[in-house]
Amino acid sequence: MSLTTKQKEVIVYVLAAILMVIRVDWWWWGHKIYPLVFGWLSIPMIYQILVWLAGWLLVAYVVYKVWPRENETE
Amino acid sequence: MNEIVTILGIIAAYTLLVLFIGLYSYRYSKPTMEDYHMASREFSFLVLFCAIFGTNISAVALIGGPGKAYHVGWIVWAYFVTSWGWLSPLLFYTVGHKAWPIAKKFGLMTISDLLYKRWDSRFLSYLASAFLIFYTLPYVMTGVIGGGRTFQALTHGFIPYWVGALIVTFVVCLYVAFGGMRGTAWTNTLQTFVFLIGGIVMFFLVAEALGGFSKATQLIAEKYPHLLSREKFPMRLFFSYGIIVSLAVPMFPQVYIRLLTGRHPRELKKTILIYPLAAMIIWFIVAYIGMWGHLAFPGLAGAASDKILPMLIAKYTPVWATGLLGAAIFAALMSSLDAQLLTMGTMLIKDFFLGARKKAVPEKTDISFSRFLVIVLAFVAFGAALIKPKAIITIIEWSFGGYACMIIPVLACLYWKRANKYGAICSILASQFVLIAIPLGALPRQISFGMLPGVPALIVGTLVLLIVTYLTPAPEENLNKNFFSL
Repeated sequence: MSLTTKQKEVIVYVLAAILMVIRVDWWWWGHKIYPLVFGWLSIPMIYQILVWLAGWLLVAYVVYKVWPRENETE
Repeated sequence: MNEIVTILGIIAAYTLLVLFIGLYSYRYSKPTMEDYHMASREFSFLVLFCAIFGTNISAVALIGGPGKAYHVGWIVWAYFVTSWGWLSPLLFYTVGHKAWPIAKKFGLMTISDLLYKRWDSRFLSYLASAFLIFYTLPYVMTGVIGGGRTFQALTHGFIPYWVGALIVTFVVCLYVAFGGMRGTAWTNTLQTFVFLIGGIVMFFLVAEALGGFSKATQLIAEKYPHLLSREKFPMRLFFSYGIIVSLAVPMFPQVYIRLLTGRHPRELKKTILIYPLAAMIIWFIVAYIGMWGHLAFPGLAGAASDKILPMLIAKYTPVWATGLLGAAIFAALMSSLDAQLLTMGTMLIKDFFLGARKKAVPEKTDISFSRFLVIVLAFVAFGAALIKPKAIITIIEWSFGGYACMIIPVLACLYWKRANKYGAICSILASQFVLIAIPLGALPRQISFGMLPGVPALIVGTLVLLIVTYLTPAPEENLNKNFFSL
């Protein structure tokens, strides 16, 4: 089953909304944390990097799979 | 004295190069308004990306960013990058892929142009422009103020504030007036490379001087654990700012206009794809430099931390690096200032003068008038930068929420056929009222639930749009047909 552009857009925006909520990692917020990876990056830092990465993947999905082909013509 | 001469030499060489590029672009100009204000919509990917990204990143990133990270830690990069870094590019798609073909077909330039074309309401168009100009003008002033302060700081007062502000105003004004959109975009391309590469070089120099990434962060964990735990950073602010800044950026008039200047949607596609990476690079750098700065200069209070980056560079790096830092700061500063200045001119002439004018005038006259407006605006900004009115800081505090609320009528305009001008007008008025009334105390702060006033303003604006639209007649069929005919 192939999704329509509208359906894909809805999925992207729902995932974007979820990402905007879970980017606030309240379960770690304000807790003492220590750099673990390379003596530099901590778990919350890596979590935030993953959120950014997920957001970037959404952008890539839009670019390659959602952006309507008809707009490609001038 | 030798040190100042070297720093000034690097900054002067950089400034002259920017000026040369801006003025050189004049050779490629055509005598049309479309070319002066939109560069004939012919930008390819690299120029388009730099025009949008360079415009978006102001000196605030290189000065205010490290300053904030000094007080609250690494979370500063996540504050921006895990929301704005990807959500704004996503919204560039939402707005840009719909607006680009419509704007190209009808020759539209500004947000108000788009709203007018959709609903044929001059009042709505004026209202939207008035708010956008209200929020953008203070930014032009802060750009000039930033230029004056940077010159003063980097030369240890050798160049006084007013002279620095005048130099920045003069240089930017000159290439914007002559080069128009092409001039600003070409210079933004150089400027974006300078502040990105300059930022990366500074990152490694400072990290090296403080003993490396690992040692510096371990010392922070031992001496200043609050910078890692984020306990001094309100969670609700983190949440709400992410929403507000992400929705605001596509509605920055200077960013919106640039979304329409690609020669093909393909160029915008590539731009939004690379945007999150560039956003990550610049904010990652400034956040860690600011946080590590605590080790070298502990105890800076309030806005004193805004100088942390120049202080670190001056202490730990050779003098050429200070010159490079100066060039990077000026690159970030001028790439926003030029775009804001040009866009202010575009909005004034396109949304107000041309809209109200009854008889036709040769296009060359309009271009000359556009140039005149840019010069006048630049020197108004310079004058204000000398006076430094306190009100501009207040307006800037409101501005992100104000821009964000403008996305409601714009999305309705592009996506909702039933939406009408009454809903759009009432939505703008209601959301802007809530946004301004909360900080002024006319509405209780509690309705924000600890978040930025922009959040309740967005909710009210959306509800008002829905309610008023359904209570009033649908737009005329021929207006919709014309607008959505692509």
